[in-house]
Amino acid sequence: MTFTGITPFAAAVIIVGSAAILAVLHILRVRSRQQSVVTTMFWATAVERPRARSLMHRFRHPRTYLLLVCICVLMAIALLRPQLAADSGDRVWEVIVLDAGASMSVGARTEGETRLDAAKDIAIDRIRMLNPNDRLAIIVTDPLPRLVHASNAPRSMAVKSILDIEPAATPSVPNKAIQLAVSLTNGWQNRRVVLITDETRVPAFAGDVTATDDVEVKVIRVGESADNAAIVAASFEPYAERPYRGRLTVRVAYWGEREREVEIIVQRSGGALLMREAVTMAADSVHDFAVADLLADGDELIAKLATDDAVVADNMLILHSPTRPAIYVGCDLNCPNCLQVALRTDKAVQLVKNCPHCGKCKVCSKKHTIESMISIAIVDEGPPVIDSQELRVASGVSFLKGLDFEGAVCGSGAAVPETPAKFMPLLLCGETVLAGVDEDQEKPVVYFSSAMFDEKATICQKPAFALLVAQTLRHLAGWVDCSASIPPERLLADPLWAKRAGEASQPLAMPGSRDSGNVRGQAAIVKAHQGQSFHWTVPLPFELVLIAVLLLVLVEAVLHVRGRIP
Amino acid sequence: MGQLFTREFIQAIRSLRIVSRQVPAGGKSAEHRSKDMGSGMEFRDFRAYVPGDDLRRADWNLYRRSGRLFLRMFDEPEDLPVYILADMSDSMFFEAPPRADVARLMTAAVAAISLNQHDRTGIFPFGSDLVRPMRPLSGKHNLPRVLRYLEQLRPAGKTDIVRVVRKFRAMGLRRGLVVFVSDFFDGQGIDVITNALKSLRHSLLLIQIARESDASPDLDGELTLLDCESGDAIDLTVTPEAVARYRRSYDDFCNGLLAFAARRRAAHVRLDADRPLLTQLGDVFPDGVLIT
Repeated sequence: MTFTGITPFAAAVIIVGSAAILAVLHILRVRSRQQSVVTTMFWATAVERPRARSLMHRFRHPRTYLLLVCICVLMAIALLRPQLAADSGDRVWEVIVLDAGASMSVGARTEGETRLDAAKDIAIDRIRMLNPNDRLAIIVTDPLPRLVHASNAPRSMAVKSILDIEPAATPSVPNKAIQLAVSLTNGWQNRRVVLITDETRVPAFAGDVTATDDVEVKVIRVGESADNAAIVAASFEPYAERPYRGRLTVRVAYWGEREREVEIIVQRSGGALLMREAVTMAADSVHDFAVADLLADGDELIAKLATDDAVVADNMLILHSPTRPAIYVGCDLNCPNCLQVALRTDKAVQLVKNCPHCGKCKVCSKKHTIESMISIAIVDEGPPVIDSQELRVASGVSFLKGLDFEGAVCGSGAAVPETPAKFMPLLLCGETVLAGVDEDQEKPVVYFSSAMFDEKATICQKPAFALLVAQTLRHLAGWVDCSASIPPERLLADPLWAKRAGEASQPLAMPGSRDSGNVRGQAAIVKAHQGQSFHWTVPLPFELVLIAVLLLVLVEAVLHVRGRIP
Repeated sequence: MGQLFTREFIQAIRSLRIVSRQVPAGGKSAEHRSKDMGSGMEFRDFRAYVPGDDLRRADWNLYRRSGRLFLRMFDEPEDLPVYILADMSDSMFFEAPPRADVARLMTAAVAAISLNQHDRTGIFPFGSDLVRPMRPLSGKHNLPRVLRYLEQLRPAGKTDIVRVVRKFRAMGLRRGLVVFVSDFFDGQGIDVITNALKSLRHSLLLIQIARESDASPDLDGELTLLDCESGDAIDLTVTPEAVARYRRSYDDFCNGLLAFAARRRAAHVRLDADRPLLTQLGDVFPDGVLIT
């Protein structure tokens, strides 16, 4: 049950007061006693009217009627929450803009109370401070600013409208709400817009408005400070020596006004604690928390911040560590030594001479499944390759970016034909392909031209060749650098995205989700309009009215018993 | 002698007299001066002789001086029929001391005086109707009988003066003095009462039995008043204003009775039921005589 214009305490007072009134009336009820007299002929003419036995009957008497009317009027006035206006100044048009964004669902100073609850209390207090002749409108700002209480609606409904507001799951758009508020009061004097929000960075639009319009914009901050620590990225970096283990790095960014302590917990989803660390972070800083020697076993990991923030949603991240089995490479023992050396450079690579399942076939062609089984083939039939020193990495191969083959030459041999469907050239000599991969998921093959292993060739002796082999194998085995980032839907809920975008390793927020151009610095707070120019109003205490009603009822009862009124 | 009628009371009323200014003619010889000229001892007037007059009453000395024949007229003392209508309604027995005591004492006093004056005296107690009236008697030897009769009177219901007067009038009694002893508390109102009394052809002596509380009732608060006769209930908040209105109503009642008595040339006596009658006899019979 929702009371309009009445608090639960007042309702309780009404109930208790009514019970007290009934009790008093019961005590003071009229008790007539019978008395025999010698004659009633004189009393019959002396009594103007017989005593009223019903409430309506008692209305006949003007004084009784007046008292009862006064009681009813006072009760009605009390329920309407009257205010005594001490200043009969000009009418003020006030628009309360209530921030109901996601960050308002965070706890406020009082335990168990959210920032939105605190904002509601402030809004209700402001409503009660208004003069009766002032006009009031209420706008809720979440992604879609909307009017929830029009200025021509009864004032008593404003409280109910505020109490019905629920926090949204998305950030608010205060600037548009202020624009709407200003438009509501166009053409009127004494305009005032009150923004109740937890934003630390007041929209500069407020300043723009006050610069062009005669509007007083007052910003009321709710909550401690809207600072926020968030997990912005996480990545797994395998060790070079032990490719099956690595280091998990969780990047935490903090935006705020003061330094604060940020504690992070990393654990497996099964509950095993991997790390618990607290760090005092400076304002607007980034810190990487690292979990060392973590097995790349594909387990689900949970990283969470043990702190309250403006956005609770970004305090936890669930990610999977990469699954890292050995990279099995099927390689004939007759392959060139330089290639074998290059293959063994990567600790993750295991050369398979025979099939680990059947022990016979060299390259598992009998449908035995070896995970990450990659074949290496040296092409000796194909277009001829002439000695050349112009070796270069094929364009578009990201995992080979930066390899330098300057000074390396290849010998004579057959070039790699670009026949498979998923063939990707890796190394070119002019227009001739010297190395390429067939990225068939079931049976990836790395092709090398025989010209690379010719006696005259020097390329296979270059470190770049080993890197080419290792990066290619890792690419085919799925050994890309494993990283995790906040999903875009979480970033949408972050009111501090404008600053975070620069800190996150992968900016995945949807473009246009927040117009950063409208969010400016702290200096945009409209300090010039924080002067108090409110009308002084005195709320008439509801309890006093009730006491007056009680006194009137008592007076009526006493007068009735004493015979002053029938 | 009963408890009510003491010897002192009997002694006290022995010397009292009732003198009526209008004694109807046709009565038997008694002590009241009537309009009839008769064989009394006291000369009243002369009148011219007309044939047929008794020549024994002719004044021959006057005839000798004037040559004309006149008769000497003398008073003829006659009796005065006294009818006492005593109110024995419930209201007369309600409070303590009951008004009926004073009423019976006053009735006894009037009866005793009348009997002493050789008047025929009848007692007609009433309530809602006449109750076993005592037919007119004469002779003071009947006083004990009268007293015994009064002693055994009991409450007789609700007062209905109109009905009582109508019945009394229907008796066709000889004109005389009607002594009406009552509190006159008849719910029909004083106007109805006086209209009924006005219809009587008799001389009237109204004896009103009252008490101080009639004018100033000692009531307060929320009351349901029950009429002792009719049982009617009135819900009432006794306030100073209500008491004032009551007093005005009561005064109107009393004034109405007095005004009627004045118009009717009837005597009116008010007795206080709370005071002994012996102490009030001096007021009722100034110099021992009550002139009606």
